[in-house]
Amino acid sequence: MLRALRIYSAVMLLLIIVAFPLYWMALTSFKPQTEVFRTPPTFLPETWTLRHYAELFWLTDFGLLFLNSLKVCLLSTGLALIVGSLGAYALARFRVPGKESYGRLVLIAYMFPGALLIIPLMLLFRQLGLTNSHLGLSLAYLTFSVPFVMWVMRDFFASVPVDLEEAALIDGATRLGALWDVVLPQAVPGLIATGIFAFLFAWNEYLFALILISDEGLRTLPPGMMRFVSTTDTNWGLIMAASTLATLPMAIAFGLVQRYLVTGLGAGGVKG
Amino acid sequence: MASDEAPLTDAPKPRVRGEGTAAAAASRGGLLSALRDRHLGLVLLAPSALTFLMLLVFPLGYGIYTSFLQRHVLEPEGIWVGLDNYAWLLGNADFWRSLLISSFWAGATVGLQIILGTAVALLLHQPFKGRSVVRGLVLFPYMMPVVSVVLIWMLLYNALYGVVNWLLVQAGIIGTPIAWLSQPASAFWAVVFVGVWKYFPFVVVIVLARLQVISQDLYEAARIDGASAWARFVDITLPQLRDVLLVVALLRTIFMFNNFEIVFLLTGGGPLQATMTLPIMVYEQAFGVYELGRGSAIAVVMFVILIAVMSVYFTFLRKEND
Amino acid sequence: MAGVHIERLHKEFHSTGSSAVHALDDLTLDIADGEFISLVGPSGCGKSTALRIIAGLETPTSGRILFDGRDITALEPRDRNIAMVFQSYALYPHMSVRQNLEYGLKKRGVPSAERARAVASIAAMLQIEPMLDRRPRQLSGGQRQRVALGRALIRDPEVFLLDEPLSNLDAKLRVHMRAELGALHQKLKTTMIYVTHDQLEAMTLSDRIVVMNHGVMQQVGTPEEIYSRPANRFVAEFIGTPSMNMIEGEISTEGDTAHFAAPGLHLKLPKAPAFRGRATLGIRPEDIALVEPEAPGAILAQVTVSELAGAERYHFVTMGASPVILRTPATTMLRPGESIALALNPQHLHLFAGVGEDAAAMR
Repeated sequence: MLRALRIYSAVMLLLIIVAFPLYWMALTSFKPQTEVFRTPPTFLPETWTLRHYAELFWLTDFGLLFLNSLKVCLLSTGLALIVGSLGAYALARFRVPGKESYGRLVLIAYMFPGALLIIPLMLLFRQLGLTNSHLGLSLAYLTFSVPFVMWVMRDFFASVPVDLEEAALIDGATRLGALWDVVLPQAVPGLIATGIFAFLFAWNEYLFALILISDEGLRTLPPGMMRFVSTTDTNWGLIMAASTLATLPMAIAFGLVQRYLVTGLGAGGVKG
Repeated sequence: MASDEAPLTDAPKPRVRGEGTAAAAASRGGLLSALRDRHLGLVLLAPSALTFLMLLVFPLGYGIYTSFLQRHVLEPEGIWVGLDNYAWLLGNADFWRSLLISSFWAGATVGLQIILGTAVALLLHQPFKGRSVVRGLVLFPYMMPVVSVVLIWMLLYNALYGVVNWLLVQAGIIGTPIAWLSQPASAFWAVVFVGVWKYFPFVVVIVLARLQVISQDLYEAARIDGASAWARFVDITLPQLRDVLLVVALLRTIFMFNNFEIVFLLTGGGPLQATMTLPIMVYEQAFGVYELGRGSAIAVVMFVILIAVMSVYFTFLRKEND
Repeated sequence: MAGVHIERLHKEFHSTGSSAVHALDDLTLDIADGEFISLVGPSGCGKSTALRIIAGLETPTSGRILFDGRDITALEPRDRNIAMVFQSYALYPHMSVRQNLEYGLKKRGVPSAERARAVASIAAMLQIEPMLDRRPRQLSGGQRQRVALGRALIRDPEVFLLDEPLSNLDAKLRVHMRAELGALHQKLKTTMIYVTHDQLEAMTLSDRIVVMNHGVMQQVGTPEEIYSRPANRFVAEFIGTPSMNMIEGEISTEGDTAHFAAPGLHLKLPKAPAFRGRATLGIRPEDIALVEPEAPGAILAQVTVSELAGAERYHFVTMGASPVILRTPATTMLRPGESIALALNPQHLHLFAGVGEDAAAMR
C-alpha cells in the first residue's frame, strides 16, 4: 500500500514537471488577452475563447507557414526513406568493401551539428540556386534524416530472417523482387517509425530553415513562429495557439502509432 | 533402433546468418552470381553515398577551406589568409569563454538529464495503472518543436506575469519576481533547466529499454540471497546499466555541446554573453557580423572536438564487442 | 524430375585474418532420378553448405553440379527448377497460406485460374484447405510444416531440397511428419535431398545416406550398409542410438588366431584381420548378451547404472577397464555394483585400424 502510494506520488510529480508546461501552453491559447496578463494567474480560463486561433489564420500567415513546413517535411521524409532504406538494406545484407567504415561514417554523419554545416551549405546552396527553395531545404534535412534512417533500418533489415529472402529466390524472385515482395512488408513498422521521426526532426528544425529561406512566402513554421514574438507585440494567446498547433503533428503521430514510435526510439537512439 | 527421442549426437546446428549468405558468397566466390550481388550492393548504396558526399563530406571540406579565408561583405569571394582565423580565435578571450560555457552547458544538462532520466526510467519500470500512457506522455517534451518549447518557457519565465515567478513568490522562495532570462546570474541555469526538461526523455527511453532486458532471475537470486531492495539496486541494476549510461552520456554530450537552438532562441547568447555557447558564436560570426572565415574556424574546432568524443565512443564500442 | 550429379565440389570460407576453412572438401556424388538421399552429420559438417550450393544460394569455390546432364552451377536459384523446405519454414508472414502457396507460381507467370487449381489440389493433398486464408502465425507448428511442404510441392520441381525440415517440431509430431514425408516421396517419386543432423530420420526415410564430417564425405550407402558396415569409426559412432561401444586396444596374432587385447579384456577374434597393432573394437549395445559366468569366453563386468527407456533398458557397465553400454529388454533388471558376465556377438564385431575417429574399418 505504502509502496503504491510512493509510486503514485512520484508519478504525479513527474506528470506535473512534464505536463504542466504543455497544459499552460494549451490553456493560455484559450484565454482572452486580458486574462493572460492577470495576476494571480488563472489555472482554468474564466472565459474560454477561440479568438486566438481565428486570428492566427485570418491575421497572420500561419496557414502558409504550416503548409510550407508540411511540404518541405513530407518531401524530405520521402527522399530520406527511399535513399536511407536502400542503403540500410545493402549494409545489412551485402558484403561490400569498406562497409564497416561506411557504417561508422553514417554514425558520425548522424551526430553532425547543424552549426557546423550551415555556413558551407548556405554558400553552396546559394551557388546552386537552392536557397529560397523548398527542395533545397528538404535536401539540407537529408543531412540528418538519411543517416538516421540508415542507422535504424539497418538493424531492422538485419532482423528479417534471411531464410525468407532465400525462399523467395528459390520461388523464382530476383534479389530486388525478394526485397520488394518479402523484406519490405516485414520492415513496414520500422519504416513507419523512422519515417515519423525523420518527419518530426525536419518539422522541429530551426537553424537551416532560418538561414536557407529568407523569402516570406516560402518561410517554414519554426522561424515564422519565432517572428510572431516581435511582430505580434508578444500576443501570448496568439503565440501559444501557434505553439499548440505546431505540436499537433507530433500529438497525432503519438495517438496513431505510439507502439511504433517506442520501437523506433529504442532501436537507434535518436538525434536531438 | 527403437528410440524416438531426440538424437544424442548433436543439437540443431546454430545458424550464423548476420551477413546473409549471398552476401557472404560475394566476398568468397569469384563467380558470376557473386559478382552480380556485390554490384547490386553498391548500386543500393550509391544514393546514400551520393547524399553524404554532396551534403556532408563536400560541405565539410568546403567549410574547412573557408576557415582559411577572410570572407566577409567586402570580400565576398574570400582571400586566403592561412591560419589567421585560428590565430584570431586562440587569442580571443571570447572564444575561450564560449568554450568554457559550452562545456559547462553540456556538462550540466547531460549530468542532470542522466540523473533525472534514470530516476524516471526506474519509476516507469515499476508496474502501476496507466503506466503506458505516462510512458508515452514523458516523450512529449523530446518530440515537440524546439520553437514551441522555447515559447512556452519564455511565457513561464516571464518577469511580470510568468507563472514560475508567481508560484515561487507564493511559496515564499523568492521575494519579488525575477527576470530569469535577462540576468547573467540566473539565465544560465534557467536555460539549463529547459535543456534538461526537453531532452531527459531520451535518457528515459534508452535506460528503460535496458532495464526491460535485465533478467528477472538475477533479482530473484539476490532476493533468495537476502539482498535488500537497495542492495539489489546497487549490486544488480546499476552494474547492468553502467554501459548503457556511459553510451548515453557520450551521445548526449555530443548533442548538447552542439545544441544551438534552445540557448539561442531563449537568450541569443546573452545577457552579457553569459550563455554564449560555441554554436551561437559560429552563428554570430557568420550571420551576425558576416565573418564567414572566422565562423568556419570555430565550426572546425567544434568538429575536432566532435571527432575526439566520437573516437572515445568507438573505442568503447569496440571494447564492448570484444 | 532429374538425377543430380555433383562433381568435385569445393567450398572455402575465408574469415578475416585467418586461413581458409574447408566447408566442403571434394564432394562427388551421383543421385539417381527419384531417389531420396539424406546428408547427415554433426553441425558444421558441410551438409547444409552442400544443399545450399545445390539450391544456388551459395557459390562453390570449385566444382560442378549437373541436373540430368545440364550444368546448372552458374544458374540463379530461380532458374534451377528446385524447391526447398527450410528449417524455419520461412513462410512469408505477411501473406496468407494461399498467397504463400501460389507465390512461386505467380513469379513464374502462371495465370490465376491455373494457380487456383494448383492451390486447391495441393491443399487437398496436405489437408490444409481450412487454413488457406489464415496467416502463418495463426498456424500450429505441424500446419506450418505442411504449408512449407505445399509451397515446395506446388511447383512440381525437378529436385526437392529439405533442410532439417522436422527439427522445429516436437518429438511426437516429428515422428508423425516423418512418416508423412516418407509416404509423400513414395507417391511423388521426385528426387529429394534431405539434410538432417538426426541419424534416425536419415535411417528411416532414405534410399541412401551420405554421412559427412568436417566437410568430407565419410560414407555413402543404404541405411542397412551404413548401420551394419560403417566405413570408419566416425560413421559407426554417429549412426545408432545409443552409440556403438568403442574399446581401444591392440591386435596381436599367435599362429592362426588373432587376439584383441585391451586393459582387462582379452578377446579371441573369429577371423584374423590383415592388421596388427593399435586398433579399435566396436560393438553395438544390442550385440552384447548377458551370459552365465561359466559360459566359454564370458567376459566379466560390473554394472554402474541402468536406465529404463520404455520397452528396453540401457545398462552402463564396466567391462575390463572400458565403459560399455548394453541394451536389453526392459524386464532385465541389474543392480548397480552387480557383477555380470557378457558375451560379444562375434558376427557383429567392428574392427577399426588405429584409434581416433578417422580409424577406418577393417574388412
